[in-house]
This record gives sequence, structure tokens and C-alpha cells, in this order.
Amino acid sequence: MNDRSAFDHRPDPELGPALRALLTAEDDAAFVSRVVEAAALQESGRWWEVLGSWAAPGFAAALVLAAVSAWFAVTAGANGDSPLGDPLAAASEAAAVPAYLISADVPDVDAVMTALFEDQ
Amino acid sequence: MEDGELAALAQAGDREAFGELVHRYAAPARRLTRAVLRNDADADDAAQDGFLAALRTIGRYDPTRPFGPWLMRIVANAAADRRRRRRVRETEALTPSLASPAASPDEEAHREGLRSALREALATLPERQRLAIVFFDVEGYSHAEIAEVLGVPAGTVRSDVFHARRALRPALEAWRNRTEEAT
Repeated sequence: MNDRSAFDHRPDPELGPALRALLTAEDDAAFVSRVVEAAALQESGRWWEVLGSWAAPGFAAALVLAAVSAWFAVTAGANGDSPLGDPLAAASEAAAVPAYLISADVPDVDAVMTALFEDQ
Repeated sequence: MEDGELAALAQAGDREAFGELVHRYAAPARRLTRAVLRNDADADDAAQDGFLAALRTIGRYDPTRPFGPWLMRIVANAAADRRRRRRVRETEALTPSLASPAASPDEEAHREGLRSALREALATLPERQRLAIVFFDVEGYSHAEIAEVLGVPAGTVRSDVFHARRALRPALEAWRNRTEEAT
């Protein structure tokens, strides 16, 4: 045993080599080959990971879209019309025609003619 | 070629450059993981994990700084991760791969005595002290470099090296005394 202090700020010339002998593994070349092969696999695997990361949300979005479309189709089939109605029709027009149909009074001719021609 | 140049090439996808870096750092990385895991198979797996993690994050390496400490920090983390996952296997003995096939039976017994004494003493140390003494006395890193690798102040590294030496030197001395008594 040497008389070096444990405080010594230089590598220990006896303990260092002993630890090196204890911890050094054989066949670094085989290890290097193994790591390089694993790295190549890792690199090729990344493409699949990227595609996979795109595929999952894309598939989920497609499922949601298909489900919503199916719901609209089923609902429209049951009512015979689109559940959203005609977005281009004015609210006043939609209300005016039923008013003529349900009224007990004789409608004003000018008003009926105006409604008919406007529809055309 | 410098490590930084090789790292830049490896980042650009040059497998030969990455292979050269692995070749340069395989031995210290494997020693480091053996100091943490004490099982050769796990240690090599951890060293490989470290190199692959380094390849994945090599874009974050600052080429103005030394490559070795940057890599060793990643390898040390990989070893710690594997130790946490394989705590049960940690108690298994080191495989006798350190034996030299050319050694005579007496020489081999002599070496095995030293290895056994050191291995037992090393096993009693906290992980950070084990790493600190391996980096300092085996790999020749400075206290500042070790501090960077371990993420602790340099003063803590000095303290860890001191305590580790104080624990390991008696084992070395006891082994030497036994050897002298035998001869």
C-alpha cells in the first residue's frame, strides 16, 4: 500500500489500475459491432415510428368523420330531409308560407302572387 | 479526426463516424456500466442503451465542449435506468470474463483474490462514489468533468473520491497482506 492520502488530487497509481483490471471487459470489437448494428436498426425504425405517429391520429379522424357522416345520413333518411334544413332559405320566407296556409281568412291576392313569384 | 467532427458526421447520418465514436468510447463506457451494474450482460446492454440514446440526441451535443463527459453522462443515466429496472439481477456475481487465458493458475488465483477483494469493497460504496472514483482514478477525468457528468458540484466529487478511496484502499491492503503472508 502506498502512503498517498485519500485527499490526493491525482489519480491513484495503485487503485486505478486495479479497478481498471476489475472493470475492463473483453472483446470491445464485438461490442462495437453490436452497437453499430443496433444503431442501424434504430435509424430504420424511425421511419416506421414517424409513419405510425401520423397513422394513428389520421385513422381516428377518419373514424370520427365516418361516424358523423353516418349519423347525418341516418337522420336525414328518417326525416326525409336534411336535419340542418336549407341554410340558404331566409327565416322570413320559411315563416311566411305556413302563415298563408293556416290562416282562416281569405288571403290577399297580391300577397299570394308575390310569394309565388318570389319562390320562382 | 476530432470527436466533435465525428459527432457532426454521425448527426448527419454517417454510420462510420458513429462507429468510430463507439470504438473510442466502448471501453470506458463498459467500465462505467460495470461499476454501476456489476453484471456483465446488463452492463453491456446499458452501455449500448447509452450509445443509442446519444445517437438519438446527438443534435443537442455542443461541439465546443468535450464529447467524453457528454457521452458518459448519457451512459451513466442509461446504467442507472437499467439498474432500477433490473434490481433483482444486481446481486448476481460478475462473470469471470476478466480472467486472462494466458495466466498461470497461481497468477490467476492471485488476480482473482484482488478482484474479489475490490469487488466486495466496491459493492459497499454508494453509486455516486463508485462512479466518481472510476472516472477519477481509472478514466483520468478532472473533478470538474466528473461534476458535469454526475450533475453535482466539484466539491462533492472531491468528497466522493476521498470516501471511495478510503473504503477501497483497506481492501487493497488486506489483499496485499494476505499475498505477502502466503509467500
